[in-house]
Amino acid sequence: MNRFYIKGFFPQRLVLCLIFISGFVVINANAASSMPRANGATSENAPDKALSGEVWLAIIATETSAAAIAAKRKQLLNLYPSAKIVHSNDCSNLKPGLFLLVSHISGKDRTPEEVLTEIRTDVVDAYSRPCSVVTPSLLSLRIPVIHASIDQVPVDAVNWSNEDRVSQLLKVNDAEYLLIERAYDSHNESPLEGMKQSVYYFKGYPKQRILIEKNCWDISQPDSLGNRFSLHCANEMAADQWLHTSIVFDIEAQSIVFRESYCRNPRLASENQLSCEKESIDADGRLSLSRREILIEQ
Amino acid sequence: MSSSPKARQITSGKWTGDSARWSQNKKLRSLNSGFRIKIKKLVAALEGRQFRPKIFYGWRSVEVQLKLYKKGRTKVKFSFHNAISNDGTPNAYAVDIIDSRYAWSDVPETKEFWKALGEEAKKLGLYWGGDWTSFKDWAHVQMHPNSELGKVKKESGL
Repeated sequence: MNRFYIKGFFPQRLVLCLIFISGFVVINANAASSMPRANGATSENAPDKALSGEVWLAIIATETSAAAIAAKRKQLLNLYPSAKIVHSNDCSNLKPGLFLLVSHISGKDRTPEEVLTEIRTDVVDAYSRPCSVVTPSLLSLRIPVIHASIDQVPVDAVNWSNEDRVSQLLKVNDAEYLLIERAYDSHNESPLEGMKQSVYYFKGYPKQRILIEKNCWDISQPDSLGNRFSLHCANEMAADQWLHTSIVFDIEAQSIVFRESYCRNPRLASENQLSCEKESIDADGRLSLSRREILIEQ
Repeated sequence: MSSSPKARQITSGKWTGDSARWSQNKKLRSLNSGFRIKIKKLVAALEGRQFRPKIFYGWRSVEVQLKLYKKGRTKVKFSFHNAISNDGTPNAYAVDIIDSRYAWSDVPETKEFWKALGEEAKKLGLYWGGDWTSFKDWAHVQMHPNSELGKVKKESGL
């Protein structure tokens, strides 16, 4: 099951290694001058291309918790409206488990020193770090690890955890991915207090991504076969149980071709044959599962 | 949590055991008094429409809620089911109501019951889980909007 997760991106790996809270670690000029110069492929001026190799990050805040870094981004929004949150797990050379608020990534036109000089007029302790980009990762695909809307989560929300704020990448195969985008939507009514967990499919670089499900809870790992993959999403509650919908997505058609309600753990026996466990809940709240074979009509 | 006075009172008193298995009367008594009046009216209205409403859950403890959360069976760590009054007794602002004949089964009659449940709940000024957009909890009815979860949690001393 774990094989589908992008290496180094488990929320559990958010180890406590706080660098600072209100102050920042200051990198001296010598360290900064040793930062690599950006190349064209990694330029911030080429946002349509994936990041790879070594880049440098201009960092204006660091936190160990997703909620804290989102609060920091909100605080600095007026000064750095396009600042992005990067997870240090996405840089193989950095200490894991940190959230970095980054104002610039490898601008080819300017050196790290030039960028830092500018930033330090506002954030005196801003610093830079080289980053060996993990590929694939949210960073390499230029997807914010914490969606901008997360900054708006009410401070008195009771059901939000750290993990609920952090987006995630699932691998379908070597070239195709699912993005689990965790966001806040004040109109998403439920005791989840605006929590939204959308699933998108994309191939290669996520310039165009396809929404699979707007609210997908308890998502399963995708089961891929040929041009199709299946997964389940929970979208109902009954007693103490999630109830799921199994979905089959066709990569060529770029669309969902089959749905089966109240069915979990889908497996593709062939591109046209799905098996999943049919769910039923009795009046005592007990869950029964029975595996069914379902023919997917063309 | 278990060390707080309220939690001690709950776990040492008569409100122990699996609250889904309590009698209908005990489930009703586990509700906030104002909410209880409305739920009695709701049950009567559903019976008047020839349904057989059964309260599946009234109150349930935060400990049970957190166990479900840790098992991945809910994303909710605190719900209106978990509210506690000042004297440490259950004070739920939410119920789950099913028709005892159909429960959650995938038959048309279940959908008819959910529809009736939503209609009658809203007539009483209650909030229905079938109206939620992020996921559906058809059997769920609550006293307050979800924006008041934090307030109720605080009032519960949790």
